[in-house]
Amino acid sequence: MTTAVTPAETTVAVGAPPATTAAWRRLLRSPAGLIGTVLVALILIGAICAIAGLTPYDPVAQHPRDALQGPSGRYWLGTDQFGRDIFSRTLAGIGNSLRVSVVAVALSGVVGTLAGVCAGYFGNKVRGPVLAVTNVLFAFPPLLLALTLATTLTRNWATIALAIGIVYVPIFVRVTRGPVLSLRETDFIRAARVVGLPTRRILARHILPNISAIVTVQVTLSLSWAVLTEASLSFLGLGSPPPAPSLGSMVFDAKVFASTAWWTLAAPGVAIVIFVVGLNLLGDGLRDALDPRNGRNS
Amino acid sequence: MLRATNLTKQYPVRGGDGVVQALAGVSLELAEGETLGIVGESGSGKSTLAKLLVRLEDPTSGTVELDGVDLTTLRGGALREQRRRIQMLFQDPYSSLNPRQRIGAILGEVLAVHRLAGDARGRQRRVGELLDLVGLDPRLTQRYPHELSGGQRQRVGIARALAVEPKVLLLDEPVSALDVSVRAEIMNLLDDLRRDLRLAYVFISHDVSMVRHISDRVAVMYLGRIVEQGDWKSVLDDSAHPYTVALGAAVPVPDPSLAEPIQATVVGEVPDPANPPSGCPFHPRCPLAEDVCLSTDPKLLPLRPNHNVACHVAIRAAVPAA
Ligand SMILES: Nc1ncnc2c1ncn2[C@@H]1O[C@H](COP(=O)(O)OP(=O)(O)OP(=O)(O)O)[C@@H](O)[C@H]1O
Ligand SMILES: [Mg+2]
Repeated sequence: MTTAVTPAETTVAVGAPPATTAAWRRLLRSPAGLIGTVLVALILIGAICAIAGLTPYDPVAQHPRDALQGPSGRYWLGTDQFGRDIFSRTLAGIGNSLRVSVVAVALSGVVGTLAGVCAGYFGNKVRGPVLAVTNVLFAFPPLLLALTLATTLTRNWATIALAIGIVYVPIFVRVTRGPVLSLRETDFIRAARVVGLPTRRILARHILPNISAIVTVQVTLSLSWAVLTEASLSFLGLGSPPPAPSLGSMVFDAKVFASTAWWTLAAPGVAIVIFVVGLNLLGDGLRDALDPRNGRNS
Repeated sequence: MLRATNLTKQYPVRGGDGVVQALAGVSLELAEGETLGIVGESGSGKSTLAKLLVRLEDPTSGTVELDGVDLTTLRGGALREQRRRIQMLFQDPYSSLNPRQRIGAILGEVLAVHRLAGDARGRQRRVGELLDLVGLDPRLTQRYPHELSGGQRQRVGIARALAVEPKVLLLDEPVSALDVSVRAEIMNLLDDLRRDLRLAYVFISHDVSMVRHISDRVAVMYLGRIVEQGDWKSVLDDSAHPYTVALGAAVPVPDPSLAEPIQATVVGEVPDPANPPSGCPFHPRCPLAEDVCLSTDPKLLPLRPNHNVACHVAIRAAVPAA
């Protein structure tokens, strides 16, 4: 299982500032945006429950006498081969996936956006090196780099997040560089230079706000890919070490029992799907909602 | 006060290894409070000249001096301080304001960076004054650019340029993107400001009637050079260069507020600036071209007091009379 790493469509949405409330309204009015928001909200609630310890059972507690039981009043989504509650483990797995993905995407988003802005705004002296590094990273299959890092460094969730974060840096470089390149040639950036604003201020106050929509959409989409990559790594046994629950390793453990105990596979599988589909729909919805060309005062 | 000497600018040809000679040695001077009109067809290098004068781009060669200080060698803070004195108003008011900044922030930011109006309260007051100066309601500070009309936005652009108290304002086709109905208003505002603030203008347009309306002196550009230059009346009413004659002939309406933007229509095609003709660059389109025009590039020479022209034929015709 490899994650398709394609940057979101790079359109420069230069126009009116979408008033935040208007953007929300547009988001929730589109089917994709509404469903995406609901699914992501579900995921977030699950993750918060897990982090707050509000799971019916301890996700790692074993109940050997209750091994491989189907869904019931006691175990809502059944138990696994050690008699651990699958519902609790799924919530905890969602929490872990989210933690890894958020840290990874935050890392790649900040580093990648900064690099992309610099590569787009400054001349060839900056552009050359940034793009060279980007291309090398881009040529790396995400799983391979993550694998290398996970095997050479200590294996914990932070290493995984670091690996995914590094691999995703180029995505943000790519989606931001083009728009910045064309923003640089707009009259309001020229005006800012003529009137003597320092470069740092131009980047922070004039360039960044005008690519924030693109970055927001990319963050959402990248989160969904990061969830998949994290699941893939765990599935391969390179994720967070057991017994910490992870959606990927739950799927891995389930494959032996899936034919007789379908519920072991169903819960983590559905969680991954909700996660990925939700974030993707939300990303699509945001792309439309944040595009100021789509009815600014509606 | 402002003096450009022998400015040239070459751009690499896209997807080739040649160069476009966007400016081929332009010199000009501007005195305090004076308005220099620059006319020429599309592609003649007017905007390139403007960009070099405000230091948006570096010239390939040549210098720009302001009160004796060479701007082309300045960097960083010193450049920021000097370039304040030369400001620019952009052609398209729809793209020249940051869509994510309120009007008040656009102007306040400029004042803050240059520490021009003291504290926040002082800046707020100054922003109000600036808006008033350009004929806008000071309550517009809370608005975003997209809530304003084209004419209002152009006024904000003027206010932004004036915020740093410049001596020279470059106007690159300042009204050609506006509705015909508001052009005269903006032109009148520019006229008033020039008088009240003793500003010097470089007014760029391909519309001769517009230039006539506002200029003290006029420079006519063709293919990256100035081919005729002098007092506006002499240059426009008594044109010596066949190119100026052709530009002027294309403009039937003298009142700019009534005129649609008039594309100067000179017979023939503009030559490829990457591959200019030999001799006088205008000779392939010139009704008066002679042998000398094919081989020798004419220099800008005095024809009369305060009127120079780069044309073999015009100069020869004038010399015996002088
Ligand atoms: N960045 C650039 N790269 C390559 N060529 C350029 C660049 N900018 C301008 N040129 C070329 O330089 C020449 C002069 O262009 P410039 O924009 O100065 O003309 P202009 O007189 O302002 O025309 P217009 O009336 O259409 O605005 C043109 O041939 C143009 O193609
Ligand atoms: Mg131009």
